Parts: sequence; C-alpha cells; structure tokens
Amino acid sequence: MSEPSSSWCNPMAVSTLGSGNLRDALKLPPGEDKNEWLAVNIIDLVNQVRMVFGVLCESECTDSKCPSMTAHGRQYTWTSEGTLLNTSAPQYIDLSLTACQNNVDDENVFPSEIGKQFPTDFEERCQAIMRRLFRIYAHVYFAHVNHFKAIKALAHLNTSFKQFVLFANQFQLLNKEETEPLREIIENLISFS
Amino acid sequence: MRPAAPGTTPNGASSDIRHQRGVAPIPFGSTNSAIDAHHNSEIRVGRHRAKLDEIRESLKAYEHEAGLLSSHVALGSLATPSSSSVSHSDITNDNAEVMNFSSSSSNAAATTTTVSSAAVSNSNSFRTEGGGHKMRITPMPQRHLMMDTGANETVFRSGKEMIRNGNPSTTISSTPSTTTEESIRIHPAGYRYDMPTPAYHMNNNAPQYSPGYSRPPPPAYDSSPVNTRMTPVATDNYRTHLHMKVHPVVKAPPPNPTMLNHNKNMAPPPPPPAKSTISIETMSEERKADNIQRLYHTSMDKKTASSVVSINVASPHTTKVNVGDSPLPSKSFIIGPRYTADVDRKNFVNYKDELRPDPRLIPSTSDANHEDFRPILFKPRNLEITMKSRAQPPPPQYNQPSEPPPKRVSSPIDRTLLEPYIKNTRRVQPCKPNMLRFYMEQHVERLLQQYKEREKRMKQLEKEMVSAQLPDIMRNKMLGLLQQKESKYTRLRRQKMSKSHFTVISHIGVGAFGKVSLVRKNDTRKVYAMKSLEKADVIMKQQAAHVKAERDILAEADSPWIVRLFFSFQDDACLYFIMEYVPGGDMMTLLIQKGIFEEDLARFYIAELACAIEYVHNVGFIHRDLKPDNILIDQHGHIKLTDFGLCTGLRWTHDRRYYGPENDHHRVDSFSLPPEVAAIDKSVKVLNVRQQTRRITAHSLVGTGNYMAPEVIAKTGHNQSCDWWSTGVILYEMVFGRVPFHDDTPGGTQHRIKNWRNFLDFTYCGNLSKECLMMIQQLICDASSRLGSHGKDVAERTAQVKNHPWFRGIDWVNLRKLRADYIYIPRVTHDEDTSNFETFQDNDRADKPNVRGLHNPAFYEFTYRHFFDTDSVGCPSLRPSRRRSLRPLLENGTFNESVSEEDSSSHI
Repeated sequence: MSEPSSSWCNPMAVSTLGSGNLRDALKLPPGEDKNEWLAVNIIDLVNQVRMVFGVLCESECTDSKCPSMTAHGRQYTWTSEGTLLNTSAPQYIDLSLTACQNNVDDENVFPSEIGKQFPTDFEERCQAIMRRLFRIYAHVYFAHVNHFKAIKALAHLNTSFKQFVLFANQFQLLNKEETEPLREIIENLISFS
Repeated sequence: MRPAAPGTTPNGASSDIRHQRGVAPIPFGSTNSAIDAHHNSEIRVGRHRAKLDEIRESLKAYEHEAGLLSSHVALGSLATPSSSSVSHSDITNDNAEVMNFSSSSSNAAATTTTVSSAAVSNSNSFRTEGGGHKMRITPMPQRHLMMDTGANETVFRSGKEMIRNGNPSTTISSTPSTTTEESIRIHPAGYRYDMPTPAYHMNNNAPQYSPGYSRPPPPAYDSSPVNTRMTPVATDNYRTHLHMKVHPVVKAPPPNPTMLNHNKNMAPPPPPPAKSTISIETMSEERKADNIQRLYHTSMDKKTASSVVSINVASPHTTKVNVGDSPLPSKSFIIGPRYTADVDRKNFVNYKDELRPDPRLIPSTSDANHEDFRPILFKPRNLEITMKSRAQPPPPQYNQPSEPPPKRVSSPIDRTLLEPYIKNTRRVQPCKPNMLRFYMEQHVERLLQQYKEREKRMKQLEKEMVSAQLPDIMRNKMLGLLQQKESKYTRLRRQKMSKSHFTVISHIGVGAFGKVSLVRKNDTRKVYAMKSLEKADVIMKQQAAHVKAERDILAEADSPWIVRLFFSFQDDACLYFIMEYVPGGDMMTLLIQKGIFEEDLARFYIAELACAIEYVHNVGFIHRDLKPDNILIDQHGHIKLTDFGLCTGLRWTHDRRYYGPENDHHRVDSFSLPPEVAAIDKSVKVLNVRQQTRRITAHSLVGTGNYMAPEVIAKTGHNQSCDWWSTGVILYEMVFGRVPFHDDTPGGTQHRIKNWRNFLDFTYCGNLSKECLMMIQQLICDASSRLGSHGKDVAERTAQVKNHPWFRGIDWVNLRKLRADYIYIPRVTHDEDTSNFETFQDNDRADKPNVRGLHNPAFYEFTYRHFFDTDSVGCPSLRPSRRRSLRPLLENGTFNESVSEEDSSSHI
C-alpha cells in the first residue's frame, strides 16, 4: 500500500484546483466571532472528509486491504475504558467520522440557535475533531493516493487537504508532532499556494 | 505402549549394570597386582637387559594402576580386604601353573575328564543361553585389540565407545532410536557438557592406535610389555578358542564363569547398557530373569574368594592344564625372533594356533575404523541441528532495525459509538468519484463567492455612508451593525431548516417535478411560496443538474425581475425552495381571462420580459422554458420570472455529466420526459386535465414545447438566443390570442415549429402596428438573423431588442416604477389571498420511498439561506414594514428599490 516518498511528494503531483485566494477566504473576517468562524468551517471540513472516504469505502479501503489504521510512521488505535481495540482502517475511520458528526450535530457543542453560547471548551473540541480528520487524511495519502490518481481526483484531494491545512494553521488547531506523517506534502502544498 | 516400553527399560537396565560396573574395577586391579608379582619373580631369575627395559615399562604401568587402585579403595573400605584376598589366591595359582607346565601328557587327559564333568552340570543353562553367548563373543576381539594398543585408562573409555558404536553395526534398526536418544540428550545442558568428553577421547584414541600399528619396530617393543601385562586375557581368548575347536561340548562350560568375570572386570559402564538393551528386547521374560540371576551369580562369585579357591583345590589337574597352556603363547610371542632348540619345537605348535585367531582380528580392526568414523559424522549432525535451531531466531532480530515499528497512537472513544463497530455496520455513504470532483470544484467556488460577497457588502455600506456624508461616529456604528448581522448570518447558515418550521395554507401550483404551496413560517408569521421537489422524481428524470441550476440562480439573484429565494433545504424525501410569494397570479391566468392584450399592455409586458431575460443572461443562465405560466404578476402589475426548473447554466457546475453514471456521455434532453414516466406520472395528468378544462387553444402542456425554439427541439445545439424566440411566441399569443404553432398532438406542434416558415400566420392582424408585426417576425426566425443573437456581450445583444422601433418611447431606466392606465393591476385583499391562482386539492405523496438518506452526495450544497432574510419581509410586495435606520443603506442599494418601497407605503 505504501509508496516511496518521492512519488507522492513530487511537486508535479501536488496539483490543486484553481484556488489562488483560498487562504484569504479562510481568514477570520473583521468583526466576526472566532468560535462562529471555527464552527462553520469545521462543519465544512467534516463534510469533505466524509466524501473523500466515501470514494474509498466500498472497494479500496476494506478490512482485508487495510487491516490496521496506518500512516507514515504511525499506527492509530482506539481505546475504550482502557481496553485497546484492534480496529481496521475503515472501522477506525467510520468511528472517527461518527464521533465528529455527533459533535457537529450536538446543539450544546455547535449551537445554531440565535443567542445560544458556545461551550467554554469549544476550541479544545475543535482541536480533537481536527486531529481525527488529519489522521484520515494521513491514511488516505499513505495507502490510497494511487487510487485518487486513477480516478483523476488527486487535485481535488490535494485541494481539500490544502484547505484543511490552511485553516488549521491559522487557528493553531494541530500541533507539529501530529502532522509529522504528512510534513513533506504539507510543505509542498503551502509553498505552492 | 510399545514405543514407550523400550524407552523405559533401557534406563532400568542401565542403572542395574552401572551398579555392577562399580565393583568390576577392583578385581581387575587385583589381576594387575598378580601380574606384577609374576614379573618380580622373573627379575630374580636375572634376564638380559632387554628384560630390564620391559620391567621398567611395567613398573610405569604399575604406578598408573596403583593410582586407580587407591581411588577405588577410597570409594569403599570393604573392597580392600576382598582385593587382598583375591591377590593371594592369584599368586598361588601362578606357582601351580609353573609346576604343572612341566608335567607329562597324562595331566592333559585328567584335565579333559574334569572339564567333561563341569559341562554336564551346566548343560541346561548353556543350551538355554546359547544365543546370548554367541552375541557376547563378537565384541571380545575388539576389546582384546584395544587393550593391546592402549593404556588401561584409555582401554576403559575406548571400550565404552567401541561397544556403543558396535550397536549400529550389529543391529541396523536400533540406530535411529539411538540417534534420537542422543539428540534428546544434547538439548539438556548437562548432556551437552558430557558429550564433548567422549569425542575428545575418541580423537586421542585414534592417534595412539595409528602410530603403534604402522611402525614395525616400536609396536613390537611397545606391545611386548602390554602383551605381558594382558596375559590372563590372552589366556582366556586362547583357551576359549582352543576348547571350541578341539572339544566344544566338553571345554565350553568351564570358561563361562571366568569369561563372565573378565567381562565384568574389563567392561566399561557405557557398553553394557546398549548391549543389554538388545539382549532384553530379543529375550523372553524367562530369559530376562535368567540373565539377571546370572549377573547376580557372577557378582557372588567375585565376592566369595574362598569358593574360587576351593574349586581350584578340588580340581588341581584342570587348573594345571589351564595355567600350563596360557604362558605358552605369550612367551612364544615375546621370544619369536630367537630360535632355541626347545623353543623351536614349541613355536611350531604355537604358530599353528596363532594363525587361527588372525581372521577375527583383521575384521575387528576394520570394524573399529568404521566405528571410529561414524561418531565423527554423528557429532557434526548434532552441530547442524543446533545451528538450524539457532538460525531461526537471528533473522527477525536482524530485520527489526531495518524496519522500525510504527509509533502507536491511541485515543479514547465513547462506548456509545462502539455499537456500529460491534455490529460491523458502517455509516459513511459511498460516493462516486465524479461526484467528489464535482463537489470539490463547486465547493471551492462557493468559498470564494461567499468571501467576495461579504467584502462586497462591506464596501457597499462604506460607499453608501460616504455618499450620505455620515460622520465617523455614525459610520463606525453602522459598520458594527453590519458585522453583527454578518455574524448572525454565519450562524444561521448552520441552522437546520425543516418542513415543520412552516404551515401549509393552500396548494397553488403543480409541476412535472413537484408542487407549489402557500405557507407561513411559524416563528415569524411571514408568508412564502414553498416549492417541493421529490428526490425520487428528480433522480428518475435525471433533473439533478437543473435543480442545482435553479437553486443557484434563485440564490444568487439580486434583481426585482426574479422571484427571490429565502431558504432551501432538504429532508429524506424532498428538496424544498422557500420563495417570495407573488400574489398577482401568473401570465397564463391573465391570458385566459383577457383573451387578447391591447398593444400597449403587450409592449409593456414584453419590455419588462426583455429586462428580465437580460438579467438572466448576464448571470450566465439560459431559461429555455419561458412561457406565460412562469411569469408572475406582482400587486403593482409588474412581472417577475419564476420556475427555473428547466433552466440550465453555462458554468461547469450545471453539467449533467457530473450527476449521471460514470461513463454516461449521452445527454438526455430534459424537455422530453421518457414515455413511461409521462404515462404514469400523476402530476402530468393533473396538469393536462387542468389546462384542457380551462383553455383549449392556449394550453401549455409539459413537454409540448409550444414556446421552444426550433434548435432546442432539434437538439442541434442552442444558446441564449433561444429565450428570445420564446419571447416572440409569447408576444404573438398576447396580440393574436393563440399560440402560433398549436397542434392537437405534441409531435404535431414540434413539426410546425421546425417548419415555422410554413405555419407562422399573420392573417387577422387587424389593428396591429407594422412595428409590432416586424418585432414578431424578427424574434420568430432563424437564430442567425434573430434579434438578440449578435454582439460581443449580453448588453450588445439585448440592445438589438431594446432599440427596436416598436419599443420607441420606453423609459428602460424607470420601467419598474411605471404607472399607466393600460397596466393591469391584480386585485389582492390580504397577504394570504390566492384568488389569482387556481387552487386545488393535492394528493400528497409523502409515502413514496426515499432513494437515499440525507447525505446523498447528489444533493450536497443545496441548503441555502438568503442574507437579507433575517430582517426583510417574506413578501416585500405585500407587507413593507416601517423603515429602520440601517434598512435603506443595507437593503435599498438601488434607487429603483427605494422608489418601489416608497410607492408601496403610499399605496397602502
């Protein structure tokens, strides 16, 4: 499944859609509430990652092909009440997306009524969601980047991840260690923006 | 059972035999002492110097033997007296031998008699144990040979190896079992430590044997004292051979006890176990018992020296004869080179005897060589086994450094989320590759669009404030209000709309893909028109792209010519548009009511339609379905376009290829419903019935294409100019009171449109002006010569229409606020007044099964909320609220809009 780094980090391969002004579109507008801006953008990213995985979940990322949730130099697992769960990659990702969606749908976490306040730990919750989404990107780039080339959607994947990275960087939602598995491709995406 | 039994028995036998071996060395020591005494007596005789050298060698051997004897004495105190007693007995026998040796042949006869009596007494046991006896004879030559060439210590250990190795040669089947036992023993640490020792001695043994055997002079010299010291053994061998050859039956029994004694004395511990194992396996239980008794009997004989002495005394003749025979071979061998008178005679006799044993010695030597070689092969095998076992662990250890294990990252997860994990159910919906591409492309576009719109609103506000020359305090306040509004809008974009937020008042329309209802929002009490489209219908009729286009144009429209969209959302079954309610009804209803329009009224309507079409084209859309049904009239008599259900955009996001199957490149024209669908679709039937009932000559059936341009029907490719053809047809219908290409069947209508030259009829033009007829002729014509077809942009192309002589006198800038007597003003009594529409009871098809869930990718990016909904009224035409401080600056961007609002207030 894994590829040599030189292949998927090749600048020629890090193509994106015509999104020259994407960085500005993600900046916090003047006078806008920060939590409000975090909320509307994270919901957007959750939808994107769900579609990205939707392309793989039928035949590409299966229990037999991806028996463990792996990325470059990482293996991600879930624990429940102190017990380690041996989940396959599709199981791990399904649980991740379900957890993210539950947060987004929770009126007490992402309030949509006028006048309702965000929880005090809203930023921490956003960071947790971003970590989960990043790990899904990490596995996709580690194991399935060839498939996205085959379906001519690599530029779309790169654009989605670029939006993710630009947004995370603006609001410091991911630490450096967490993003180590995709450090090279991140540098390529940012430098080309 | 059988495999286990042999494994157990050998151990027991080994244990018993080892006990016997513990006693054996002592008698052997005694024998050596006797030999030494014999040599001492020879010294007294006074031999030559050669003799003296021999004595020195024997003295060295004696010292070695003394060491062994002392070690044995240390083991037990009782052994010493027994040994001493035996020693004395041996000395007496030696003297007797010397005396008897000079006797005459009569002694030989006496000896024969004595042996016969002994044979009779042991005949039964001999016959029973014949097989065992034969087996025991085989190893004897080997031991004899080894003893001749090696030291005593070497003899013991080499004997062990010889007998052990002899097993494979005697019984091939036993070799595998032996090997298995050895391999098992190798694994324990103790056994591994023991194994090297035998190997070392085996190596030592070989060199000692080779030099002694290859050098003629040294072997003769070295072997002499050895032969002398081993005289008793040689005697036994000689005697056994002699008796078997001359008197087998008579002489065999007497040697048995002696042979057994010597076997025990000289037998090393290791050899007997293997040997015994073979014997036991081949013997019956009775034979095993006899064997054990024999061993015990032998031991008793050794311990009871007095018994032996009594036997010798009882039969002096027998003893004399035995002793007399034994010295001869050794002496002859030693004095071989010297030929004296008496010795010559004796040598001749002995020479014959020596020839007979030779055949046995030679095979033994070759056997020894083979046996020496086999252990060497055996050891490497063990080493190989060890290496093989060791070879397995190292590779993994070596590979680990090259492939560092991935870092494990664990995260806790709520137990409630594990239910689908336990049931192995997945919640993520699959997504087609082309849908992902489509979604990402329009998503990026939307992000940038929202960013630009927000900036545009801010700049617009600043521009208005500058033009109004507001002071800085006021300007900052206004900016703050705008920012609050923007933030509220950002949140409301995440708010989930639902059908339950609205209450249905009545149904005011039905279309091919859904229905239109008058609804009121529960929280704000505002009235809207809600258009519902069933997802199943949209997908089945391949209309997803057109639905997307309609949503986009309504969402982006910021023009009084277009019905405004306030919300769009979806549930499992339907897509919903919440739109501005235009209460004046549609143009078709007015046509039905008035029949024919006056030319002034028609000109007014067509002029406004031209403005609306210009706007639609400017934002990149083609309506393609302009007809009186889709033109609404507001309460002031002005028009608004609606129902863009068949609309298609020029941008890539409205290309149907993104919604269809992966490899579907064939475009299906949305105007022609599949025959099966049209036949069974109740909505179409309802529409047909309604239209036919109210108007025969001016009906507008879905799919009939009365207003469609010929290039649209022919599917030869069309552009925005097809909307101008539709405008021409609508104008003709207004002033002639009928559509120009009507036919009883849809096919007939299409045929007339394609051949429009033959069917465009201007008879009965009556009072119509020449310019009006010219306008119709320049709109209903080939696209190449049609008004609105030429020009570098929409403005230039539309100018061709606006500059036509028939529109002379139209004030295009203030057309929206025009008030004239000839303008039709619909009658509207209240905000829920639907009298200008044909209401009907709708058969709600809520029970229809939904195709997919809420997250069907085909309907992503459908939810929408208009920015100005939060403060503006649902029906600006009906209920304009009082003007607020921020409202004129934020909402009334254009002068026309402001005038419209003022007129509305004055009107009410």
